[in-house]
Amino acid sequence: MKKHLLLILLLSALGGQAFAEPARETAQAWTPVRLHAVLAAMPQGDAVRGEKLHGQLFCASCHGERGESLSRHWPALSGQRAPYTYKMLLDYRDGLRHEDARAEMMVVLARMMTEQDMADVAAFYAAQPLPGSAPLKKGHPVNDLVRRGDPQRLITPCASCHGVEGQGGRNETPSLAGQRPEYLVRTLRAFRDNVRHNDVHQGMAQFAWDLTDEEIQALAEYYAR
Amino acid sequence: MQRRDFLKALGTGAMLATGLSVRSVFANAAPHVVIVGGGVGGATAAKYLKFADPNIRVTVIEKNPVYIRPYGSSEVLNDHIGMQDLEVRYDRLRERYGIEFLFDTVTGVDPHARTVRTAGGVQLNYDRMIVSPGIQLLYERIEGYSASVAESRIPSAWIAGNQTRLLRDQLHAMRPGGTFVIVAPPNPYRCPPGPYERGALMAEWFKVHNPTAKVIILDSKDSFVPGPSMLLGWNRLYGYNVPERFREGMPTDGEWPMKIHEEPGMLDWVAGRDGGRVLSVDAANLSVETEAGRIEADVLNIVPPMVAGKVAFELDLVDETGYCPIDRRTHESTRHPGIHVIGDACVADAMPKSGFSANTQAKVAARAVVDLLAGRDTQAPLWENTCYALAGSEYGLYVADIFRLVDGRIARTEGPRFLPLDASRAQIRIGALYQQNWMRTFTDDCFA
Repeated sequence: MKKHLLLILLLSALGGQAFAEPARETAQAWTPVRLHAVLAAMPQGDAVRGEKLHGQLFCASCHGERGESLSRHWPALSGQRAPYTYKMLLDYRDGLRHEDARAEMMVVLARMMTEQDMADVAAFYAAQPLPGSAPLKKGHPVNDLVRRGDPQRLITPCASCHGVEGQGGRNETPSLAGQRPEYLVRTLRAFRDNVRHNDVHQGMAQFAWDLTDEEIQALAEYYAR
Repeated sequence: MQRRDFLKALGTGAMLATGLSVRSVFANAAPHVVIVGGGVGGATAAKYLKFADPNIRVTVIEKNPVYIRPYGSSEVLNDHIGMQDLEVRYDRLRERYGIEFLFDTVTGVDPHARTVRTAGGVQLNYDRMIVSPGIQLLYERIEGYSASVAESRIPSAWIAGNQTRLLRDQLHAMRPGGTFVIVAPPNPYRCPPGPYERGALMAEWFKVHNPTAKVIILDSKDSFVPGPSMLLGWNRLYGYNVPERFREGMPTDGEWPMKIHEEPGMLDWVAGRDGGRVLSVDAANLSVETEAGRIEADVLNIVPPMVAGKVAFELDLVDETGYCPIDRRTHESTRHPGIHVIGDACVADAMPKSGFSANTQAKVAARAVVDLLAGRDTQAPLWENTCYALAGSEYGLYVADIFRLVDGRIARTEGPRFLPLDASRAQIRIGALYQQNWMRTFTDDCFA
């Protein structure tokens, strides 16, 4: 399988923009019940050990010295909620998250980690400060979308799950504040265009389906550092 | 963490090397830069000149309309990729950046009049020229070897193309238990880890497809880059016994120790001190005469000595070393003003001859050319290079360096360079992942 993955990486390299679809694992889609059970069974994270793994697994070379993100190519992890980071690592490992060639890196990495490792790095990132905050921005073109949602399109306000300042919500709902805008754009598009499937019962995707490119750009800027 | 400091430094280096201005000072009289050679160096220079100032007219003169990339081409031999995966086209450079391409051969340059002529009868005026001619192989330096032998029977496959395909087919048809002999070149040469990676990738392939086969690497040198970390990989994967003098720092216990193997493994490296220097080749019998005696091969792959590409000689840019002397700050030839030389063909001191080096040198030269055209001083550059290499398809190695000017020469800065010998299995696996990702992103940086 790993060999196959490499081959695909390489083939996609020269195929230009279109990334070849990796062979999908028969991953089990999330249900609220299973997610609840998995998060309840999440090992106690050790942030000190997590910091070591962050170096040993070269996480720092893309995500930054404290997970603050070094470039537009990779998301910030600092201040991220531990259950979210933990769930993402499980999703990469199990083949639920593989929206582009970038994800392939994480698939290989996550398959080398134990669940304890995952909880530890998650604890390390959670112990770092968030890279920014997204307070009320009156007059911003998507302030209403963030704060009130859009009842016409059945879009719940972003802030109701992701927090009033984008600091993240309960359990696995991630913080968005201070995130790289390019990453937020890629993510919203991936949900909207049905190339990312690791949410529970399309809990995120359903709000992205109706977003325009302009709204996605504006939302990303709203939350970006 | 050393690695992180290093990465930070690398990031800064990249920024400095590529920190180009976007304000045009050429709004009225757009200068014309002619680039000779459309490989990694030439393509990158063209793109970064346009990044610096889209008003500069850039023309690339290149023989072949489709580039066959040499970096990563050993992965054709083990069917990791196909020949077609090596092909790179120039459409993006043309369409996105307005770079002009002339598929033709340069026949002469007048450095005083600043004109260049081609075999197709075109004459172009230029304000500055960048030459990125790569290398040419000196087959005849080895007795019994020649270009025609290389094309038909004993490929070098060091400039990717028909010889790559030939070598791949020979290896796949090799008799069970046969011997694959690689003759590594003397310094300096393109892609320092290349011969050793090639041997490793074939050993890995033989383990599955021809498990009693042998790989022998003959060398006139006593060491190579990335030496010990590659030798350790061979030890772990192919039963190679690491010579005493390279064992320092290798793990003897823990997760993945170096072992002393009772039986010799399938891969061997014969260093110069052990008689690995090749004296002559018998093409008819597929054997080589070495200082240690005669070695019979079933498949023979010779990487001969090399010098700057032909066009560098034709343009009189080469000195007695076989390479092109330059002012390191600007990459301008010290033999002919107005002509800059980058890539494998230039004398770059501590920098290895690699695609990565050519790419960084192209960025440095592009900035210098823009500054010179604008009548500005150019800052002292920084260069970087990373040579990725595989000891197996999931066993990655690298040597990473940042370079700067010291007394007019390109010198390596101090810092960690290699994947440490006590690297974990995960780090080694990630190294291979980086190598594969680099293939993709690097090709994009040069050609898209």
